[in-house]
Amino acid sequence: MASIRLKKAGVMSTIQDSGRSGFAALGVPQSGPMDLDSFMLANRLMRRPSGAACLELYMGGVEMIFDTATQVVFTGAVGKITYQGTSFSGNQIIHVHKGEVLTIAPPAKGQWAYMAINGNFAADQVLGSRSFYPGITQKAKFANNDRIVFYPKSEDIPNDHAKIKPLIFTEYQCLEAYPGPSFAQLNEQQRRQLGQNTFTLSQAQSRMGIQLEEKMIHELKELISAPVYPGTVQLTPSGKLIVLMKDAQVTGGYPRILQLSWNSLSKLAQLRPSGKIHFKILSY
Amino acid sequence: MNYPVKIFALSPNIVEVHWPERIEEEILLDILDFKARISRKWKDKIRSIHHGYQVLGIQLNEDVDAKSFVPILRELKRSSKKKPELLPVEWKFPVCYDRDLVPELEEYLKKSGLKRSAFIEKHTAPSYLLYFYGFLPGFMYLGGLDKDLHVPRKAIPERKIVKGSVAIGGSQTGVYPMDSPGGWYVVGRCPVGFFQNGKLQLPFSPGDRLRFEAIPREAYEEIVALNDFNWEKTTYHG
Repeated sequence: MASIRLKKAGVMSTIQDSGRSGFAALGVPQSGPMDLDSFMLANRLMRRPSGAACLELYMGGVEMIFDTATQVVFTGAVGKITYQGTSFSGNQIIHVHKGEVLTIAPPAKGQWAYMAINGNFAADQVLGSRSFYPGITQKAKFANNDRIVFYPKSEDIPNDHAKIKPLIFTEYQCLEAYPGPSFAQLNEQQRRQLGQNTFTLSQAQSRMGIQLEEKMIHELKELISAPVYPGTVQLTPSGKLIVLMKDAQVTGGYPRILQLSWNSLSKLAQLRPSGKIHFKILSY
Repeated sequence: MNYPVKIFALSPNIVEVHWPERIEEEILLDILDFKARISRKWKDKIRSIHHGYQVLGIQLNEDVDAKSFVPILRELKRSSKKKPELLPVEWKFPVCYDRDLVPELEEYLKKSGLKRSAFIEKHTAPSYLLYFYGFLPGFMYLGGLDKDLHVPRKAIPERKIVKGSVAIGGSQTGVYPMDSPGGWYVVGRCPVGFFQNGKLQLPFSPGDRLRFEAIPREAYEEIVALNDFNWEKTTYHG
């Protein structure tokens, strides 16, 4: 058993694996990584199973000290990584030793990063998942000086020669979406608006959902509660759109007008407030 | 009853089944029957399956295409047979309405204009039907609240409603399984924790019934101190 001490825990650092499937019927959110693509890449680079637990970081600003030598890799929105005076970038395997501080600066673009380790994080499995969720797992997020316990593998993984370039995150994304159950109730103008206009991400965003700025005036009524999923776009009575993310509740009463593709959900997660999106509405 | 249902792919990995848009026990029973049959037959294809009042949502595993699953479900629905009706289970659910334990109740009584004793009588009289869990892990959507007890939700939600709170909002009553912000009026407190040793301990399934039983403060404290509870169930005869 080994551990990492988070000298600085950052704004929102959690353990995430592929999430809780099969407990939605008990009202339990799915959880899991906000940016699934970067999460899976971290596990692939570390030669871990694709759904293995990673450390998820929001906007960097993290300092950590290892008590055992191991290897780590960061993916997603990674700022400058500094270790023993050397700078590293995302997607690079880093050999760490006992006792030195590794720092991750806030990223220039994007917001979620993943750290995979050559071993297993020991966080408790609750309802089939290690993903943090307030009230389900003991911790909702890590605090300064918390210890992250892990079981290191005794064998190093070989260094990759072929480097995968870190993704460049932008402030604009085209998101693929399928018409939701209430889409048909929108009039032609509203549908056009939804498919052609650019929408702006508001400050209101969390692991549960992201609210958009622009209002869409409509006459749709609230409905009796129906299932919702990560990627569901709800239309609130005031006309604001909410995109549900990984920690979203499992049912809701607002009209569901779009359902994002999995891939688009990862892209959306990396957009900061005031980032722009437009929906490419696909038929399915 | 054979309802006209709509079955369609919402996205490449989600299929939904829509019943008529009503809150009805008959619809719930039809959903539960269909859900059980799907889960039994196609367990390995399904990532998650859950429902609201009249929509059943099926999230499929990555390697299953929603479109090809739709006709399979339609066929399964067509072939559904009338099954023998089972009498639902009714659970006794302890609630303490003690003045000191639940000072918030006063606010509700003022709002509803009800006397304390009349309120408790009306709140404990019905056998509430559990439709589904939603909003929070372990939060029950219960049907059957007496019309006299309906009050509009608070315009500004409270920052924290403590876990175990029994509350009323609009035409609904429910129990907060964990601390949460909420716009409902707190009227009582349940002594049993739903989360024990990292497990959700909820013996109730959708289709079951719950009857609130008013317990005195001493009984409440005793159950809390024991940290263990044997849920009592009986058969519901309507």
